[in-house]
Amino acid sequence: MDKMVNRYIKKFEKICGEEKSYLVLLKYNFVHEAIDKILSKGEVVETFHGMMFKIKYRDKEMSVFRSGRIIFKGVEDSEELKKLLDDLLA
Amino acid sequence: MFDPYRVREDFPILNRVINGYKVAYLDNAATSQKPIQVINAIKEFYEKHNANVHRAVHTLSQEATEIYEDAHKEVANFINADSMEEIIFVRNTTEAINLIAYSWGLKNLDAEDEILITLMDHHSNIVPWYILSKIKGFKLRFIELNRDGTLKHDDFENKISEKTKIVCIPHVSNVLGIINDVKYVVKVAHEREALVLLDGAQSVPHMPVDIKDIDADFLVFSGHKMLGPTGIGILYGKKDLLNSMEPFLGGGDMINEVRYNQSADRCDIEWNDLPWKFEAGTPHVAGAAGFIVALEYLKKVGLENIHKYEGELTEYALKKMEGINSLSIYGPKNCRLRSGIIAFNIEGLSSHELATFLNGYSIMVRSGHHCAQPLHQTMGIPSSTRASFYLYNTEEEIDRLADALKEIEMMMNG
Repeated sequence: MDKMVNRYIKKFEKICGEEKSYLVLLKYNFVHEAIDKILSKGEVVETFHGMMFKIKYRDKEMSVFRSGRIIFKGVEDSEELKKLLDDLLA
Repeated sequence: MFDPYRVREDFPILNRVINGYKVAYLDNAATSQKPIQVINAIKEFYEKHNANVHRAVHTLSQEATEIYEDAHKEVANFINADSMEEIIFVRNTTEAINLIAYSWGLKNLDAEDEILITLMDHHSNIVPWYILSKIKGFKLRFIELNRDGTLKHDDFENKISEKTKIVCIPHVSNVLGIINDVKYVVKVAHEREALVLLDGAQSVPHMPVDIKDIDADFLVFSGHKMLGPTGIGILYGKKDLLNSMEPFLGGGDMINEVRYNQSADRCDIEWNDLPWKFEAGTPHVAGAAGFIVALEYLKKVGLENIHKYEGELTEYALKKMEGINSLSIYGPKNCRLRSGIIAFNIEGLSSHELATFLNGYSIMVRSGHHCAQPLHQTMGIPSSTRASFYLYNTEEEIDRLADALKEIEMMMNG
């Protein structure tokens, strides 16, 4: 647990105004690698000119930005987020 | 003549290039950038004058004390208070409100009392009163808003009564930029013998605020939103009121005397004079040194000029943004009712997604509920994206914002 989080994630924090949402920042040097992994595992629901992807993974939705930011929706707490990230980035 | 491009030369951070674009900093309602003069004043304080204030005979302490006390005088002058005795330095607006809640509220509010706040308030003007209401049992009531977010004056007049002990109201909404008619609120409140706490966090940095003219009993604001450093906030209070209040925090400097009474095995304590009675412990002296220079800077540019310029920028921005079909802009259409804050959303994107897109263009805006969840509930949205302007922003930056929003809209439409 947390192995992939430590490798790829710079930081994450809860964001306000949207229930159960988290902002995740990817480590600069691993942005492309991490996004490729996420795109290969999640279902791409919508893409916005390759700049942002709306992805579904299990029952969760996320917006993945090419710039290395990800907004996760419907995540209960940081433990659930870390588990999701670990699975997505494995 | 006011020239934003001349002003920008004083702000080194505005030259930063991120993501290949020059920074367009449109998050001034959260905090302002600092001019080089303020940065240098803080540096100079630590290089030449650093010492603790009060009760030392050595030269450095005397210099630090003079700077710190001068900062109080400058603030008093800035808002036209009677004297520096009415100016308490705290960490920020939030701490100032907490100070009033505990020092004034604990003593003066009881179970049968009510206090009035508004649905447009920042959480910092809701939560301290909520906590205190749980202790003292008084009722916290909310003034409702019209559809455009302006204050419902009839609801205010219906809810204020002889039970109302204090009315707490923002001068300017931190989400919608609405400028409240605070002189009217103060007049009605005082007729009912209620006090008024004015949250000036979004007004004092942007427009002339004459506290004698407004006649509010308390005024609170933050230095960091007006070119000053973080960690300096201001509580203005009428002298008689402050004198009648108990201290908020205890410690050094806020007492005249702590004498041990041996026969009774107790301490007898005498509070210090105003404003020090409310300033326990070592204060943020370097911050005060920077804040003086920030105030001088704003005075030199002129608060009237800043207010007028921000009004022009807002009008320009609203016109540019009106043409973007999928954009919802919140708040009144009449620019005279609002200051330089615009909250908006684009259909199909959350506020955070929109702010992330804009960040890609190095346009720095804020997203979320901006610590005003009840207001967003009233508007029927969970969150909003907020652009907020200050004296160094330009029409060019607003063009960039509008162009980016159009590009994002096009992207959304495939």
